[in-house]
Amino acid sequence: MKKLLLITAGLMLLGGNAFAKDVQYDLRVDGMTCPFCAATSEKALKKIKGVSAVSTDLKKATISVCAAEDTDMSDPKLSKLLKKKGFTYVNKTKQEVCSISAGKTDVKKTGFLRGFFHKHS
Amino acid sequence: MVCKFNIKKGGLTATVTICLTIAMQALAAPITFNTALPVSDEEFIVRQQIHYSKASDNLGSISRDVKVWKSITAVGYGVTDKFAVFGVMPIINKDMQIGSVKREVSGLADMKLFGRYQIYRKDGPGTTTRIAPFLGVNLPMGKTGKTSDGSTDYFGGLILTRASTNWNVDAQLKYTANGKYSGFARGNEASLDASLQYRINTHNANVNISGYLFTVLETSLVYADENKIGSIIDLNTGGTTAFIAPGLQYATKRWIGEAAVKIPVVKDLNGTALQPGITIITSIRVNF
Repeated sequence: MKKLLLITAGLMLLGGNAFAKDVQYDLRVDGMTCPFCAATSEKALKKIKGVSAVSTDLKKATISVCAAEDTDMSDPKLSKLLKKKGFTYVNKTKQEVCSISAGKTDVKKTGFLRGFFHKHS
Repeated sequence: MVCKFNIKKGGLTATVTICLTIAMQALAAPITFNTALPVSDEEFIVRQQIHYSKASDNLGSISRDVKVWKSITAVGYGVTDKFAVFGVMPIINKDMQIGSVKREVSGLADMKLFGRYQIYRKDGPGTTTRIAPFLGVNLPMGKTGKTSDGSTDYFGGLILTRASTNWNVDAQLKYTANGKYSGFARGNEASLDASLQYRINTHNANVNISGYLFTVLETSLVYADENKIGSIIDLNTGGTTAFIAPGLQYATKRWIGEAAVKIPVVKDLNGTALQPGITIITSIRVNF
């Protein structure tokens, strides 16, 4: 009986994680001026367990992060993480719907030719 | 980076000293000096440069011609968010002809090791200002009398960087105290370098789609003391030189490709010292 309860609880936990809702955090990060900055910050943020996608907008000084709702995205944690990478974390806003796609974070897609021939809107 | 052509007494040996200094993190960075190369905490950066320089003049009826190919590999590691260490390993090939005398030397040249500590940082949205002193040593790894003068040299300086998403300004003040080996002491050297990088493809801010293309203009002012052989001053060494270096830089999230042409504009060298020529620099760097 004990075993059955444990298995059921385990399955419920797994099921719960599998269907955890992704939310979006828009982090305001100062000091980022170049593509290297974006790569460094994104790499660090991607290491947080629960983060599924990251995208940087240098002009707005924001990094958008898609993560499971229960992901630890506390201010002290983000501040420490980004300070280590050489930037200043300012604040964050939370959106219930994640609007960035994983493809946006693919740094391999950033290329010399792509940079010249991409159609800008 | 500072390039110095230095013809020793007798005119048979030419040495080229390339000073690579690397520092700040997370910014675009100059091409001809490396004090603003980006390296973050617990990350590596590798920069590979190829330099080609040519200098020639006539000393009375004797023509002098020096061509130098140089491969410079610089590796940096961010020990903390403020402190980074770097190593620079040059391999050179010098082809010299003075009158009818030809000489070619090649191999490993002197290795530079140095550290940089950030003492000031002020960040804003899409902007940053950083100041960092650096201190290093030039180890005589090359063949003495060929690709090295055999001395251990020390250098230090200060880097200032002001950057935004559309332009960067970097400045470096540097002093090199050259050591003595086997009676020969190269003159000490002071330099002031500056770099302005201006972004020209500003229509797209999404770094995930395209990189940043910068036009670059760099300047360098170098003063070198005369060399000493024993207690005798070599009057045909040392002096003041200044350079400008227009270039291009393409920066993506993981690599940067860049090229510049370093042109001497002031050649106020002592005695019969060989006047510096043009240096072409190509470079690629990757961080990981």
